Amino acid sequence: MQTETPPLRPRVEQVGEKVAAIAIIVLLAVGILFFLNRSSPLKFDWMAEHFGDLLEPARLTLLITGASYLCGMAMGFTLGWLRTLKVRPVRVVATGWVEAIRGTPMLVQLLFLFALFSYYNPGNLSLRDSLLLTGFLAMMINTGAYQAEIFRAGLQSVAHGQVEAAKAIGLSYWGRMRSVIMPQAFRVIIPPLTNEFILMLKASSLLAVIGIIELTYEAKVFSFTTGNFVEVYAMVTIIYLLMTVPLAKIIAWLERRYRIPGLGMQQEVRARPRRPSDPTGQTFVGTPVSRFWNRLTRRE
Amino acid sequence: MEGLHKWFGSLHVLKGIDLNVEKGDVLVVVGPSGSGKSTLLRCINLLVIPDKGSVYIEGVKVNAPKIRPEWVRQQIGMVFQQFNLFAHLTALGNVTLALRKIRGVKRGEAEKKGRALLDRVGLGKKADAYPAELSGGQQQRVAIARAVAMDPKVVLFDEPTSALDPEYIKEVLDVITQLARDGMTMIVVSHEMSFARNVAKRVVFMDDGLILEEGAPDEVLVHPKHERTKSFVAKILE
Repeated sequence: MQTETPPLRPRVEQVGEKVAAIAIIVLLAVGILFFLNRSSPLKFDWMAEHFGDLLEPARLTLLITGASYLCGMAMGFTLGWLRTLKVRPVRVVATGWVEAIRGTPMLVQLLFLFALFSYYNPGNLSLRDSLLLTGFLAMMINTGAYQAEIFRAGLQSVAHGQVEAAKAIGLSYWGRMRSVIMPQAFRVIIPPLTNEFILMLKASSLLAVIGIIELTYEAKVFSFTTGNFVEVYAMVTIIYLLMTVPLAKIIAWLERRYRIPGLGMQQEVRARPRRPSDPTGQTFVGTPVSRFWNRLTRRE
Repeated sequence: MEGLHKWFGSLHVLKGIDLNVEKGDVLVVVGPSGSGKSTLLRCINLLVIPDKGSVYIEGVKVNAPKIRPEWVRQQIGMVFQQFNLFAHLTALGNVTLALRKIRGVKRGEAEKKGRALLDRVGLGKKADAYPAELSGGQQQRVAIARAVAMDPKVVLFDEPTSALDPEYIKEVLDVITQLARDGMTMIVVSHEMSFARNVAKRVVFMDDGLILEEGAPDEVLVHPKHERTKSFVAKILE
């Protein structure tokens, strides 16, 4: 049961690495701004004034991503679960569907649906609603297939002995699913599920192509009408980052908080294994940034 | 059990097993690996469905199409070689899961019984520990508490000490012995000779899917009649 884990890297080295990384990013950003400023100064006042204008389309981005992600989760769970069944035809159909979706660009899926909906307008939806529906469905179908893979891997990651023990105490199929398999699978699939949400949030910018007024479309219009291209896209970048980075941090925190010993991902930063070909063990340890930092701070 | 057969593909694992276990019996099954001991146990609680023959529990044929395997398993406890404690639940959670999810016992009541059971296996203080925080011996004792939580009619032990470090074997055997003294019906697949001789009421020797010898521990283990049993016992005692 016990596995060998490499020793923790010294705390100082971890902190040093972060400081070095942040310093480099800040320096780069300042440098870029400095050179931009010389040719055509950025209008920071204008940016502060109009930042709020982009929040409304950002809300739509979040909303449509959230809705399609959740519906896609139901779809993904079902497809992923079907892929774990013993009945071969069911498995083959589910696998085929997942592969077809994963093997084509989301932009093509989106345009395909857009074309379909332009022939058959279901009910008498307004143009805006029918566009939203198209975008929502395209994103749901796309994320559904990716989430199916995540769920399948999660369900299959639960050890056979756990399932057998659950059978032996007399739990039914869905009882085992609910009380043993799902709780264990969930702790494994939360990181990839989070990652998938972030990917979908970014992929929602593709909806601009069919004319849904989400963040990227608004940015395009806004920059063309005002001429402040760099300013607008700087703001859009910040807004996307404001949506993605805190989310990843929150999930990582939740994961640490609800971690169970011996289950799911290990949280600690582990030292990278040393290359056997390197007798000193110095050359390949750590990330490039940490190596750079170590060299800077080495006292000799 | 009558005329039990099981094939895995073309492999004939059980070749007609007839075995009767009385209430309060402690039956130890010995035999070389691959002789079908584990499969025999798994046929009793229908983790493996027998291909031919019948399993009766208190006169009811349980490997019948009308009977839900879950219903059968709820009346039979099982302890595995690899413990197989639910990794996401504490010791207490493991013991109370069946009570709560199958019997529908209220949380407080189930936990009271669960704590009492953990006390019985000497782990009252470890109720809130997760399996990964327990030693092999402690995990197996929790597994035993889990197996008896539903007041089963019989408990099956599938080589309960084979995966343990030698230092933990005794504490687990002590718990099983205590359970036997308390009158629990049990079928134990084990190679622990001293346990078989001191605790078993009957010993069964299996080889190649058949029961070759059956009787009191001393008869089978000390004065075996069959050649295969003799050589097996000699090897074990070496």
